[in-house]
Amino acid sequence: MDRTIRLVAGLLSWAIRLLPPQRQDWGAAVWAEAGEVPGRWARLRWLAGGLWLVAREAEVIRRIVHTAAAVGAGAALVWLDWHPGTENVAAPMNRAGTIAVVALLAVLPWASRRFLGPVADNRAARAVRTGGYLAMYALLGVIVGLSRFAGSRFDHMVAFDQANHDAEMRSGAVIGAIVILALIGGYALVILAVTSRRFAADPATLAAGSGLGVVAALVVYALMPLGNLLRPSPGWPSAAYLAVLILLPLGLVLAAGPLATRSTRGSATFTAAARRGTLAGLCAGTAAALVVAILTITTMLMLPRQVDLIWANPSPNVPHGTLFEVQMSVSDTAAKYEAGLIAGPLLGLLIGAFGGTSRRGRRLSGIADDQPGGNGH
Amino acid sequence: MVRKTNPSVQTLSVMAVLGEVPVEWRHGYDLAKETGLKSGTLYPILIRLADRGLLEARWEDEQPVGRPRRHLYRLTPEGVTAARAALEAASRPARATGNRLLGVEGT
Repeated sequence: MDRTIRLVAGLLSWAIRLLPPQRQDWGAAVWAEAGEVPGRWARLRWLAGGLWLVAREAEVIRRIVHTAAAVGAGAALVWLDWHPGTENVAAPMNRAGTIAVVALLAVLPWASRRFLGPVADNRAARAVRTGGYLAMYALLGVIVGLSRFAGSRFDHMVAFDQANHDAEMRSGAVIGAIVILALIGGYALVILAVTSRRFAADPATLAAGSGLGVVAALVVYALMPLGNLLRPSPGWPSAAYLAVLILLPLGLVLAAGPLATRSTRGSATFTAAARRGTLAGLCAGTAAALVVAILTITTMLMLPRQVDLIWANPSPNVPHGTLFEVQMSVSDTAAKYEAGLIAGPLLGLLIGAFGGTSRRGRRLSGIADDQPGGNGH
Repeated sequence: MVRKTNPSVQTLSVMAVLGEVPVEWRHGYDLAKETGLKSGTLYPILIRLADRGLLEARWEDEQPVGRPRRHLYRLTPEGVTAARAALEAASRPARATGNRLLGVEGT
């Protein structure tokens, strides 16, 4: 056996490990029969076919394409974040933070696969994972856009104690980078976990939670497209507006639990119903927070002068509507939505658990009523 | 979930060869020679057939001298039925050939 054949055979022998356990026998079968193929080129073609089999069955090509797309999108975001417009001491830290987030998003699917396994074998899990990951990149794009628009507001700031001011800017940038890294990393991990084969989430729960979360976000966005409260006529229109703005999204997130629990048969335990409701609520809260933040901040960046001004200086002698003030207003309003990214999933968890268990409770009492002496379990 | 699709020409050729003597175990290179398929085409077909319960696979029991053990294949009873039906549907104009390949006489 010549050197090339030995090399390719060795490569195939190693590559077989990439296959899922139930597929490894097939790769080994190709390797085992290579010795029987007469002729150098025919044997090489046989072994190359084995490598192709591994690439196909281990989804190597798809994973390489996904990783290349992630790295490409990440590189584009880092390039956009490397704008010359910002010249303050926080800029290097902000750029380092973006690089760290991009690297984390690219590495996490590979790193988590060992613990979580591949994506669950159903359409809902694949759709939620793809949509969720695209939303993560969109969110990072929004953060970069915000940095490009408002990041320069402290440029060339002359402070009384310049050294102290610069130190504060730097430490603020470090904290900001850590928060964004933890936030986006946490979201990515939740998306990967709930859609993984190991977690084995019910497809109906994933679909109900994510779908209702997106609808709730669209309601909030339609009623507050620029982060400002609309100003309907005083009286009942105003009261109705606020009621719809608050109650409809909460109701939709609340409905995620019962909708998911609907598919639970009578034998499901209280714990199973709670788990299902909690997961549906988590999906709804996560999807809602992500979608509303992405849509609203994007619109704010497109129409910055339409965002309500937050008075930077209350003095009537100071001109308002300056670029600095607009940048401050957009940045401060966007920060509320970034805070919503932390609150959304937590609120969804609580509301979903409540919704899931309350429906389960009603069903149990209904079964108990139907069955004389029955306890509904 | 198993999707129901019409088998490809390559799949039909594999089924036809395996259906010639359904009780006999065949190995990959042997099938490749008879069907003219490359390993990168043949094995995915065998995997799909096995996933659908139409093919059974096992390793040779004894360790032969001078070569590794072979992975062996044959159609399951469902596989034999499916192969007959698929070949029948695919080669109606060439009925005699399909039947001969499957070892079916007189139908």
